[in-house]
Amino acid sequence: MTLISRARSFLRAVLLRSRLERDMDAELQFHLDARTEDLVARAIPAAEARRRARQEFGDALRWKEQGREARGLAALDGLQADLKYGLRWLARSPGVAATATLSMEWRGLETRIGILSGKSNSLYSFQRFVHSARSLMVEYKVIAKEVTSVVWRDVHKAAQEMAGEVNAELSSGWEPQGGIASIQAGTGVYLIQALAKRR
Amino acid sequence: MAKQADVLQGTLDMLILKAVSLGPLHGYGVLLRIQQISGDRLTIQQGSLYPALYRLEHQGLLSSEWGESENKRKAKYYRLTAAGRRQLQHSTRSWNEIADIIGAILETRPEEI
Repeated sequence: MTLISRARSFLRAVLLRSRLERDMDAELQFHLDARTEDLVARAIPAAEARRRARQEFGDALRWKEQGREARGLAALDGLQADLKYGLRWLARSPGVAATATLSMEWRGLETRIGILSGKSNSLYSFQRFVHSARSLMVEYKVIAKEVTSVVWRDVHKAAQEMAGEVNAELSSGWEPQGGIASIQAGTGVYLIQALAKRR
Repeated sequence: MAKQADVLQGTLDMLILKAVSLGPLHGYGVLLRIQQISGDRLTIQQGSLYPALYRLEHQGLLSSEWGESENKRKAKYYRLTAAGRRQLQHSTRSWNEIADIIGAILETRPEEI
């Protein structure tokens, strides 16, 4: 059991994702067909045999989901969902992608940034503050020792909690938009971002 | 037929490694072999085999390739890797040690304390 074999398996699953899904479907279908044939050979009518084979097999969707988790794909699926959410949010907030140089109009937020950067600790470190006239994003970095679906879930949860803390620091003119988490490819470095937009 | 028992949590991986160590098998074949070896005394929720097989393959303990089944259908066959063989030996030793300890505890009589 080596890191290399895990990494190889993960990469193959990522790069050949559609093939992996087809293979899983074919493999589970083979099992159901073989089981049905065995039951039919024991003089059980075909329809009843197929029903019983499915019942004995259990929830195929659940097994497939657990199969993806076993290959480390659940974290990637979570990341993709967050990225889609983040991109949709950015698309609705033009200008937010540029790192902010605070304008005169936004001087009042400087003190807020001071408070937000003060939230850095041994776990989180403040990275940047990005804003447009109508939206803002505060970003923290989290360094984890490993990349697993469990760590990913923890980081995802931390992003939501951090979003709550950040939004608590903002004035009532801001509407919280939640937190998103992402991972820098091939590392244990996660970024968590708290989002808000002007009411 | 003897009374059936559920597979103990955490032991499914070991049973799969053992079944596959006796020769390459597809997923359904793994189920049949475990049932055969146990004399049909173990019940396994059939679909749960697959996440376990994928996990063992991900860990490099099993390898797989598509082949033709006994009924001429395309099937995915699993075989034990060298790392899987070492893991099976380690798991077997640990299981026997634990079984000895638990067995001794359960056999203890009051006068022996």
